[in-house]
Formats: sequence, structure tokens, C-alpha cells
Amino acid sequence: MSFRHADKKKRGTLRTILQIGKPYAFRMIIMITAGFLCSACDSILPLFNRYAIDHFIAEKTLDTLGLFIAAYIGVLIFQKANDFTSALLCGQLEVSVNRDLRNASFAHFRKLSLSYFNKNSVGAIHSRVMSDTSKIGETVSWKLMDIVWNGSYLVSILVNMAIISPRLFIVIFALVVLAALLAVIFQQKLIRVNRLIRQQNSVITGDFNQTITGIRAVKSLVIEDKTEKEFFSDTEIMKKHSVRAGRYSAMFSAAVSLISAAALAAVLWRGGMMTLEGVMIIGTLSVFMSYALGMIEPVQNIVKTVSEFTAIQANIERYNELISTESDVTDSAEIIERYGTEEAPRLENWEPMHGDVEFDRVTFTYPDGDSEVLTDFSLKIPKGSMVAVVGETGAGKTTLVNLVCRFYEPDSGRVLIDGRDIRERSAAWLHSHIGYVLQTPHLFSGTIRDNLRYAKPDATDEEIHAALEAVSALDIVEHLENGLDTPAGEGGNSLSTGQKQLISFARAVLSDPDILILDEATSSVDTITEKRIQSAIKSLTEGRTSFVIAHRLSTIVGADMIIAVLDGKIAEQGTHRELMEKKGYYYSLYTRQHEDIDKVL
Amino acid sequence: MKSRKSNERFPTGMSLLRYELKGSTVFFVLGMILSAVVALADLVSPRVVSCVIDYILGSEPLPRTGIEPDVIRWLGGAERIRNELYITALFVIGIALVGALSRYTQKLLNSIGAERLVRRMRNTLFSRVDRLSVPWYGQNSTGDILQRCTSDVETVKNFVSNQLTSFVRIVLLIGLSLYFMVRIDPMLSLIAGAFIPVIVIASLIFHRKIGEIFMQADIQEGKVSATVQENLTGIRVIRAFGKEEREYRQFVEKNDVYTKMWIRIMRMLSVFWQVTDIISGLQVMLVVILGTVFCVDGGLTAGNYVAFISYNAMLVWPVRELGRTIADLSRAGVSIERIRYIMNSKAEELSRGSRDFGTQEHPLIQFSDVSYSYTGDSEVLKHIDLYVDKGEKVGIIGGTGSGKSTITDLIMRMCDESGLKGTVTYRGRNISEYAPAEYRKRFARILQEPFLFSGTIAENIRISDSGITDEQVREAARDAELLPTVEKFTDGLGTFVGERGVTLSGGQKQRTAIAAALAADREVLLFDDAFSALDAQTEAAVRKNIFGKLAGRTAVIISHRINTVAGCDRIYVLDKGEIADVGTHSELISRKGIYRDIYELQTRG
Repeated sequence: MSFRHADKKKRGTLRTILQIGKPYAFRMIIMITAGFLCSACDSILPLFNRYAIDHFIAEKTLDTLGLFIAAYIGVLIFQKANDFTSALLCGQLEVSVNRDLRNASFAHFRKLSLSYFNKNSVGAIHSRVMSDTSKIGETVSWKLMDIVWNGSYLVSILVNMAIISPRLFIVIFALVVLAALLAVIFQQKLIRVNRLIRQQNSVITGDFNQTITGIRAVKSLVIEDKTEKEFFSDTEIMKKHSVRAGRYSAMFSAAVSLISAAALAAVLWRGGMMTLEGVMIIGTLSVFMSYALGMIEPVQNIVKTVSEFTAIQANIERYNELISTESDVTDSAEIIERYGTEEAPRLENWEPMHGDVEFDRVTFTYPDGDSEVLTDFSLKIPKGSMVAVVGETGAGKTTLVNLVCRFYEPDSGRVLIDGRDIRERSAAWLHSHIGYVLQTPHLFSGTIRDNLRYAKPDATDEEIHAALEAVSALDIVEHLENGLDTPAGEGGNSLSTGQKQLISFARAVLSDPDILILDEATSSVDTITEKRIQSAIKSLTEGRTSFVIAHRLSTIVGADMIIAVLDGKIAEQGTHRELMEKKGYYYSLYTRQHEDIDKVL
Repeated sequence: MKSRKSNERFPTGMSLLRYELKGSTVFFVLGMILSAVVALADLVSPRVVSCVIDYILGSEPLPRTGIEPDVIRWLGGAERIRNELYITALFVIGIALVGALSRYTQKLLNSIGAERLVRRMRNTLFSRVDRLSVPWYGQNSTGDILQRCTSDVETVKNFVSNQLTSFVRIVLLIGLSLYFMVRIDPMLSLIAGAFIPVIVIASLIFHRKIGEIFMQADIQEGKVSATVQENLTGIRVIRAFGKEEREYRQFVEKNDVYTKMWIRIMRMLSVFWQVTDIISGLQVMLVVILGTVFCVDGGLTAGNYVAFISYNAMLVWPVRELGRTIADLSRAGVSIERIRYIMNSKAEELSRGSRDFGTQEHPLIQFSDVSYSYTGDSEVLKHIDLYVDKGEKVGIIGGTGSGKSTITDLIMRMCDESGLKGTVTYRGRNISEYAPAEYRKRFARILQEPFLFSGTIAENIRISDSGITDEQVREAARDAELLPTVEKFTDGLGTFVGERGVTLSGGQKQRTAIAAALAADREVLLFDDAFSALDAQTEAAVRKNIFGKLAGRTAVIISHRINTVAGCDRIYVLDKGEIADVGTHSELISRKGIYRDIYELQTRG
């Protein structure tokens, strides 16, 4: 397997949390201390009532009122200051952790080898970078503080009660335990239903998405009623799950209010008797009542938070999986020493590229495949040659290109550029000399000009025009309402596939590469434009080493070397003439493409 | 059901809300009434406590009249309760039972109401979205429509089931607390109540203000998220151009802006919480002190003092929430408007029009002097005359931007008819006279970039009609040259495609769509550049099946490749929106024209 997240590297949930929190350890200690003090003050405030009742009211005097007010305000301000500190630090912690995790995962995924992106969908990686990180951030800050706040409040009032009246404390404590048990039971039920609800919710979003993006198909097939019927049954299921969740939380909330009432009843009854016996005074009774009523909520909160803590384990695991995956393709320490990293390239050491490419006894298997696609393959491609790769759709024509671009590395053997192993120089150096045009062109959000400048940030409009001209795309761009300033849209959706191909082609031209790779770059443009591009290709490939992947053979008959791929393996190689004379696979591909026209004639 | 499909219009957000609330209002209203019972049950406890303290534990004389003394007398008088104190406990629990039962029912009703509301909103939206016209989709971005159908619906649901009900509950709680407080001591209530408007207004202003910042932060998060998305989908391009570093720097920059916005929000929130907390803390203190003074002066009993403090404590939370709830109310309005936009967009009336297709078969389809322009643009089709007879195979060849796809769009009635000049007829009648659903069922159209639905390959092939048998599915897959490929998959035709399953290549998708069209057994097949991703060998095999086996079927084949259309009975050559030439392959090739130019380019290489 390609991904070495060996067991020893696998990090535990707790360890990850500690690691994430490490830079903020000092602030976290202050935050937790402040939170604790804030809750402790909260539990002290009812004692002021007790004093007021037992001292002022019972004794009908106002003698220490000034001191009382001063102490009250003192405690209040002290409490709020602590509350402010903990909340502010907590908020900062959340967003800082969030930012750190996102930066780290972004920095990491951009270094991963392409096989990772083939195996994991964009959506899955995206949610690791965006949602898993924010879940983790929220948990280590607010959820942690919830436990601190509620836990210390609960402990303080229990301690106060135990000191004031151990007898009553035992009754109340029993109710606290009962409330905790109930909370655990309902929490588990709710978690289960909520999982179903989330799943169903994504089904519903998927339904909408499918209809909205596939509206032409829906209309053409006239399946409006059918999709509607399916959708209605999906929302019905959603309603059922949601009402079930609603019922559980209604039951829970009713049960909790009953326990609260039971606590109050117990205090009134037992405490009242103690008061009548003269063991307890009324002020104390009133303190107990406010404690009894204020106790259930923190219990509820703690149970809820603890269960949420266990739920984020999954988020942390997903995040860890991403961050601990190692790339198959990395520059060695010496290479980094000489050529610098991507962040800090040492351009002064970058030599120019001549453009000779050589495969030297290369054997290669895709990391997620099981058979060798290249076995002991050797090929010399001198500077300026054009290599064409032909074969059927899905036959594995991009393999050679993937190796030249060092998106993958061979299992054995070497890929040489200018006579030196590709691994002897940095990947950044290599990529700075390659121009790549894809079959499914990818344009970035921003204008067409932005997209072209991607290849050369300081390109002037003249250079841009020249590049567009070279691929016969200038008139197309000029026909657009805003010309070069036309937004390319989300992934270039406002342009047709053919237009996108032409622009990404111009982009490669603008980067003036030593090695040019055209991966079915012209499959979606019409014949006349394609022809125009082809004459441009001829002049552009002059002096450059180029790889052209095509399934339309007219494109490549003039290539210096044609490689025909069948079922992932190289079936034949040679020039057009050689291969035609051989009357093998290429011959049959070529003739078949032309014979049906002749048959019709 | 019927009303949903009609094009009902909603002049105001309120009228839409009323429409969506059909079937759930009764649950919400009952729930709100019950929440009054819940509030009462909650508010009785402090009263019980004060009576216990004054009359049972203390020695205050029982007044002659009043609800509380009557209840005490009904329970057997102060003396009896003093001796059998468990009665108070039973009384509290009794009331709590009533409260708990109402609370349960109220929450359940509210939840049922909310879920009914959200189901109806989703269903009505889906029905509308399902039937909006293709031109409408051209004018609206898919991401935005999806958001209106998902998060805006959530917002409206939250508004009705949480915000509106909690608003009612809060107002009830405040009102009832104040009522009980006034009954104990009007003067003290006035002082306590004076804080309410201060905090409500402060909270309202604050939440309005922070709402805007929240929105900005949301927008910024959207940017961060879009950057990640773009870097994932464009990873190859970024690698090939060696732009990883630049992209990373841009990401960090956006992420930093987002983080700073949130730190600012957090600071504002913390300040707001503490300021209002201190105000309410001071208010509580003032009440405690004044209450004490009143007690010492003899105007207030100890029990009433305790009860008053409890009621006052109950006020603090709802008062602060009130401002926030009011601020939230205005936000829901935006979402309702966004939903209203979709609900007021005109849906196609799929079953309105003629279902009688007559008997005319020559010509089956005819374009007479057809010109078409998308809104505000120059004409993409100019004076097109063409026809298709029953059983014919007609080819249309043209380059990028020649308008060839607009022809199938017109046939399928997926164009904005206001841009159309001239007439398109089917079986001798203008196509706009037919009921769209019945009319479209005459055609099977295969697009260049076909859309597959999530499900298995077989399900996609029988998508148009679930009555298609397994045997027919296999046969269609065979004719589309899909079967040999699919049989290599472990699950064969049962392989899942799309999000949950394998990703098919462009060619495999096209072949699946072709198979679905063949299985649908429609009168006319429209191939809209539908072979573009197939290699020559596969394409030839598919074409052989279509021209051979399906010889009797009518087909319109659009392409920019000579091979694809060469076998057609008649080929129209489209150039810059005009028909440049027409004829059979051999006729066209014998003339010096665009067709021959293309032919030479494509064969000579």
C-alpha cells in the first residue's frame, strides 16, 4: 500500500487533543481557572439571600447593610470578570484551533500524491478540511468549558449543601444521580435517532441536488412525477425520524421537570420538618430550594457534553487519517538542501532544462491497482520529439505522463531528464518546466485573464493575446461580452467544454514549458478549430519535448514515436509508418477509424 | 396535491407562510396554548414556597380571602399541613405532574407541527423545482437554488418552531412573573420591571448589529471553503504549474481574515454577555436589598420575600432572550423571501395541452424559417428549414457554436419561446400545442455530457419506465456496447454509480445514457453529440446497431464528426447558425463545400 500510516504513527484521540491544545496550554489553564471561579461565585450568591433572611429579616435590623452591598457587588464583579475572561479566551481558542487545523490539513493535502485524490472523493477531503476541523475546534473550547462551568457549579453547590445540611444533601444527591441516569438513557436514544436524521437529511439534499443539476435529464425523460414521488417518500421518512427525536426530547424534558419538582418537594417536606423542629432556619431552607432547583440543569448539560465528546472521536480519526498519510513522492533531504522547498525554493541552484526524457527499465504498478502496467520499459525521447500515446478509452494512456510529471514514481528503474534521475532534482523544479493540458480542463474562479496569468503571473495583455492567438482562441474570447474579463465561473462553468479546453491550452502555451503534455486536449473542439490548433501545435512543439495523448488518430500521425496502449500495457511502439507496416493493433485502430466512412461511400 | 402543481402566486411573504403552514398551524396553536399551562405550573412553585414559609412554618395569620388561603383551607388548614408536612410535597408533585404532562404534549405538538411544516415546504419546493423550465435554470445558479431549498427551509422552520414559539413562551413567562410579582408588592415590581426595557432594547440593538457581522463571517467562510474545493478539484493543474505555495498562501490569508472576524465577534459577544449580566446582577441585588428593607419595615413577609426573589430570578433569562428573539425574527424574513422567489417562478404546465398526436408522419418534425436567440444575444439559429420523416436517420453536422444543440433544445421544448421566430411542428401541429409531458415522451435525447442518477447502472437504464424488464435492460446495454465493459465490474449491471459507487468514465456514461434511450422505446431518438467520448471502435459498433437493428426508428444525430453522421439519410450542414448545405454523404462530398473540407481534414489527418 502506498499510504504509510503505520500503526506506530496512528495517534490516539486524547493525544491529538493534547497536541492541538499545546500552543495554547497557558491560556487554557487561565481559561479553566477563571471558569471554575465564575461557577464557584455563582453558587455563593444564594448565600447572600440566606444572610438577608436570617439576619436582616429575622432580626429586623439593617445594621450591616453597607457591608452586605459592598460584598455583593464585590462578588458580582469578581464573578463577571472571571466569566468574561473565560468566555473570551474560549472563543479565541476555538477559532485559533480551527485556523491551525485547517492550515495544517491544507498544507498537508497539497503535498499528497495524486493516488490519494483518486481514492478519496473531493467531498470527503473537503469535509475533513472544513467540518471535521471546526467540530474539533468547538469541542476543545466550548464543550470543554461547558464541562468546567457545569461541573464546578455542581460540585460547589453539592459541597455547600453537604456543609449546610448533610441529611438533606443525601436526598438531593440521590435525585441528582437519578437525573444523570435518565440523561444518559435519553442521550443515547437521541444520538441514534439524530444519526438517522442526518443521513436522511443528506438523502434529501441529494434529491434536490440531483434534480437541480440534472434538470435537462429530468425533462427529457419526463420523470418529474417519478422523482417527485420518491422525494415525497424521503421527506415522509424524515418526518417520522424527526418526530421520534422530538418525542424523546419532550419525554426527557418532562421527566427532568418532574425530578426538579421532586427535589423541591423533598426540601419542603424534610427541610420544613427540620425548620419546625428548629434544626434549620428559613434562610437555609430557601438556599436549599434554589440549589435544588438549579442543580438539574448542570447535570443534564454535563451528560450531554460528555456524550458529544465521545462523538467527536470520529472527527479526530478522520482528521488524523488525512494528516498522517504520507506522500509517495517526496524530495529527499539532500534535494531540499540544494533546490529548496516549495515554500522557499532556491532558484539560484535551479539549472535550465534541456528536454531529453528517458525511461530506463521502468516497472510500475498503480498503488491501487494489482497488475504491472509497465514492465522493464525503456524508451529514449530526445529533446524536441513528439511522443503520441494512443489506445481506447480507459486503456491507461496517462501512465507515461504521470511518471514524467512525477505524480507517481516507478517501482523499479528510473525516469531520467537530461540524463539525470528525476528524483535527483526537486518536484518543484520539474513542474516549473512542464506545461500540462488536461482532457477535463480545470479553470479557477476568477476571470479568463486570471486563469491565463496562472501560468505566468506577470504576463502582459500582449503576451496573453499571443497565447490565445496561438491556439486559435482569440476570436472566441473576443466574442465574449467581457472578453478577457469574463468570469470563468465555478470551475469555468459559464464556458463550454471546448472553450475551456482552448483556454487551458493557451495557459500551457503561456508558461513556455520545455516539456508540453496534451492529454486529449482537443477532444471537445470541432474539427476546424482542432485543425487550426494542430498547425499551432506543430510550431509550438518545435524545439520542445511533447507528449500527446489522443484517441482520434488523425491528430498524431506525424509523431516521432507512437505508443499504442491496450488494456493498460504497451502493445506496440514505433512511427506511424512502421506501425502501419506491422499491421498490428495500431493498424487495426487506424483502419477501423477510416473504414466506416469508406464503407458508407 | 393538486394545488401544489398549479402555478399559485404569493404576493407577500406572509401569504406564502400561510400556505406552507397549512396542516401544521393547529399543532403550533395548541402547543402555544399548552405552553401557557407549562408557564403557570412553573410559576406556581415559588408561591407554594412562600405560603409554606409564611403560614405553615411561620406564624403569619391566614387571610380570609384569596386563592392561596382557600387552597390551604381546602387541604385541611395550616394546622393539619404543619402536622402532616408531606401534603406540601404531594401538592408540589401534583402540580408538577400536570406541568410535565403539558410540557410533554406541548413539545410533541410543536415537533409534529415543525416536521409537518418542513415536509410541506420541502415537498412544495421540490414539486416546483422539478417543473421549472430549463431556461429558468439558465438564469439561476444551481448552488443558490440548492441553498434556498435546504438552508432557507431550515431557517424558516426554526423561525416558526423555535423562535416564534419561544417568543410566545418568553412573553408569557415575563407577563405571568410580573403578574405574580405585582400581586406580592407593586412598588417592588415597578423597580424590578424598570430593568426590562433597558435590557431588551440593548439586546435588540446588539443582536441586529452582530447579525450583520455574522453574515460577513459566513460569506468569508464560504470563500475559505471554496478555496479548499478549488484546490481539490484542480489539484492536477496546481501541481503541473507548481503553484502549491501560492495557493497555500492565499488560503492562509483568507483563513486569517475569517479567524479575525470571529475573534471580533467573540469579543463583542463576551462584552455583551457580561454587561447585561452585570445589569441583571445589579437588578437582583437591588431587589434583594429593597426586599430586605421592605421586610424589616414590615411591609413584606419572609415567605413573600423568598417568592419575589424567585420570580425575579425567573425574569432574568427570558428578558435577555427577548431582544435576541426579536432580532432573529427579522432574519427569517430574508429566507422566506428567498423561498418565495422560487415558489413564484413559473412552472411548466406539463399536462396542459393536446395529447392527440394525429397520424401525420411525413414530415414528422419540421422547422420552418426558424430563428432563435437567447435573451439579449445575437441569433444562434438563422432561418432554419429542415424536416425529419418517420423512420429516417437525419444528421446535423457543425462546429463549436454552430447552434446544433439549440436545435435539440427547441425540439425538446427547452428553450425560452420568446426568443423563437418561425415554427417548429411535430406531426403537422405546432409543438407548443401539445402537453409538454406527453410530447417529450415521444423523444429520447442523449446529451454529450449525460446525467446519471444515483442508483445502479440497471436503474439508470430503466429510468424512464420502471416496467422495463431485466431482459430489455440487458439488450439495450448490449446494443449500446455497454455490456462488455459493465460485465467486468463485480456487480455487473447492479453496480452503483455516482456518489455512492464507482465513477464512470465519460464514454461509459454516454453508453449508459444511450442504453437508457434505447430501452425507453420512444418514437424519436435525438443524439446530441452523444458519441463524443467514445473511441472510434466502440462508436462504430454502436452506430452499426443503431443503423442496422434499429433501422425502423427515427433518429436525429448531431455531431462534429463526419463518421458519426455519414450513414444518415440526409445530412444538414450547420455553419454559424445557418444551414449551409444539405444532402447525403456522397452528394455532399461531391460538392465543394464545408462538408468536404471537414471530410478532408478528418480523413487525411
